[in-house]
Amino acid sequence: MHEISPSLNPFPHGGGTSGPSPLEGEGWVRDISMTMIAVTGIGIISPAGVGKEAVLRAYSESRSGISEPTGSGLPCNGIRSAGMVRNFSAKDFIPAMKARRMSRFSQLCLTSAIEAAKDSGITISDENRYRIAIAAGTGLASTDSTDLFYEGLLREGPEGTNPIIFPETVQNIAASHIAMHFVTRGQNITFSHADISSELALFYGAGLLRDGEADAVIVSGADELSVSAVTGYSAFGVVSNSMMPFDRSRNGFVLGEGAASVILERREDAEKRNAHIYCTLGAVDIASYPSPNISYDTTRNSMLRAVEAALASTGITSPGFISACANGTPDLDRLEAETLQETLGTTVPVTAYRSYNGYFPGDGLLRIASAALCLEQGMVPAIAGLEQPLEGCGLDLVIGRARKLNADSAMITSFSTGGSAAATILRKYR
Amino acid sequence: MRIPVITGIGIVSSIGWGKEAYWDALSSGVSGIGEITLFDTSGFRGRLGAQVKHFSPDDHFDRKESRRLSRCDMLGAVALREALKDSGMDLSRCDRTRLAVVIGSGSGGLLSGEQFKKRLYHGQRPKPGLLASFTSSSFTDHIGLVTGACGFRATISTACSSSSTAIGMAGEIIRKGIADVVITGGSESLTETTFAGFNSLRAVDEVPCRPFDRDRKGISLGEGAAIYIVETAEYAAARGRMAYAEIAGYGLSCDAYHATAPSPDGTGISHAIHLALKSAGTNASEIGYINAHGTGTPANDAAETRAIKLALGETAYRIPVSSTKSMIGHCLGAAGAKEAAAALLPFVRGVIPPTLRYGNPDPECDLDYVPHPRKSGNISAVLSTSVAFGGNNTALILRRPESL
Repeated sequence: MHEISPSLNPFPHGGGTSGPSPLEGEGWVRDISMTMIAVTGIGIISPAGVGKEAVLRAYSESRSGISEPTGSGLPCNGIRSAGMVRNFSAKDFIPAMKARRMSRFSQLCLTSAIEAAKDSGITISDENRYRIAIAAGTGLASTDSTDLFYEGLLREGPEGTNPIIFPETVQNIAASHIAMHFVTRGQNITFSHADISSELALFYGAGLLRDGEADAVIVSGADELSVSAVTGYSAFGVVSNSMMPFDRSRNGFVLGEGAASVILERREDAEKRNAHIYCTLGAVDIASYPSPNISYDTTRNSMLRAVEAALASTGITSPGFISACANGTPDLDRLEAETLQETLGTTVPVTAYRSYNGYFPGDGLLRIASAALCLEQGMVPAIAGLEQPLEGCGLDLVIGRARKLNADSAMITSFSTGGSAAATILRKYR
Repeated sequence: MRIPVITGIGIVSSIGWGKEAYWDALSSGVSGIGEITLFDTSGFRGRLGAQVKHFSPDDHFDRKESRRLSRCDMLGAVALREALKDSGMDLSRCDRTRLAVVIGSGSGGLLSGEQFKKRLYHGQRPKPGLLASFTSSSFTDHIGLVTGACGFRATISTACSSSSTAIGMAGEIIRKGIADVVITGGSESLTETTFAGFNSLRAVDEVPCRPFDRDRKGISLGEGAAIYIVETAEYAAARGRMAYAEIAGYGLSCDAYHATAPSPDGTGISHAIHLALKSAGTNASEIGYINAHGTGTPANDAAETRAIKLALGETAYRIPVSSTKSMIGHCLGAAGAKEAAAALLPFVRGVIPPTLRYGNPDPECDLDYVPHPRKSGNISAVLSTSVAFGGNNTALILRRPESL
């Protein structure tokens, strides 16, 4: 029983960005034993590649997927560099009639789910459709559709509004398309909480399996690149034309897009059907700290607690490698470097998948799925674009070439503006 | 056993500020549906909506704050203040790493996003501040900022079922020991996009909506906020607080049928009700009132009626079912949260809220839809259903606490 106890270090009402970093108190209660949850399928559609094989190749060859964006209205706002998914035609995966009506967000997300389901070999039938759940995460969802719909209204008034576009503007539309594609009628949930959206989906999906509420969960995370996304982020001056996580000359992030899905099952179920198991879940831990919604938690309190909770709940003191969330933003990279150094020291290899795909808020699952692939392959990719590590950083940043490493576990971090933080640990399946 | 109970409620609605005014209006069948003044509605087929009246940001926020908050954030923040005060909780005495925030969000700061876009469209330079509150998590993080919450934090965004799911999840994380106190609920403001969107689908009624009526033609949109403070029954008892209700359980399902239309056979919604009953460890006989999603569209109300009968069997005919959307409109992302407070009316006022304007029975809708407010008698549990675009369904069960 966890009584509310007076905090040992109560910080001022209203929070703020300064003050102590109390790690006292109960913290996150870990009643979650996640090692029973297995990842049995992976689907990735990202700037680094379409399909997990292509993505893995790009990582091992240190080939970033960032390029000059092309398409309707792009480049714009002086942004000539983006993580754009190339060589992707939704019609190759989704019936053309259906794909035509979908936003790019929906197309990317559904395709990744189709790839993951195929990869896992699960069968969805009348026997189990009420026992298959979907949990998705997205930061901005179909920004282009929302923009397009509203532009019709501005241009022509009520007559200019297109009823086909409107349903695509809700954040849960991609999860809905996945459900309709496979006809899965179990739980269906979408989280949209900035940079921890995907982690929340993973956390919720794993909970459903652990509690026996579902027998398989499709967990997806996605966002689309659009003029309005570029315009929006550019308004805050945080977008750059070069992606250099942890580099001392970093000056912002390159915006990206993409989708990843994983199939989760209870390990015993997966073993029973002789499924391929990529890895098991160690922990997904979430913490927060009061921060204005366009700032990171500069106290690092939330980041430290998320990382320490994930370590504590797995009993791992030093993960095999870290997939950092660093995205070239001056604040974030420094705060993350300090957090990792403080909690894990300087010996754990650190990579940053955002250097291959650009940054988008729903990219947590892309980074988690990427780490799952690399963990299985025994490889840690180099941080693309990194030349001069930031001052005072003693971390073992993987620079230049991918490293062979037979790791037992991987930690994936997500620190968000607004003060939320997540740390995920994957364990190698033996 | 960690039993999650609601000990604080804050409401901002088109039919009254504060929960007491809200419950008064619901008890007497007051409609908030009328003219919208927030933006120009000329040229639309359906022009009515349930707007929150007399809301002036300056009455509640300083200039600096209101510049970076959307209308959605502000309506929600006002409800938050009432909920915190109502709960009597002294946050400075809490371990804030055990204070979680779980919010359901619909269109979030889209109204501010529209101002940004409009200026761009007219060749003007918009203020970036308009986008500061654009993301779905803006209100959730704002709650974190003003309460100092350091625990679990989540924003659920499943359109019209978002905040009902959030309340269910808030109960779940208390039960599982993930947090000791959870701030939950949702907020929504009217926006041009959602208003034009439902109109483009011809889903808006030209007159105030008539849920379950034979002549129903669609929805009336609404806005507002409902925020709840949830804690363990044990903690509430220890500090001598009366609880409004226990969050007994919830269920989620997906129709996997159509992006905007519900599965006509009602099997999707009924599965959510089935899971909610199971999660609450109860059955149809305990449910004394159903606050239905009841949007007023021909498809929803028929499918939902079928779902209720499918899930509850013959018992369904004995349970009063009403749609309070007939009074507060469809508040989208906040609908589930606003309606959970309406579902509590039998507990707090001994009254079943009515389905306003219900008059002509539809053969497809043959349950007891409560055309007028009525005495509830002693009800031990209520059910609230929420249905969303994308086929997302949520059923939430709230139980009368023993102390009430």
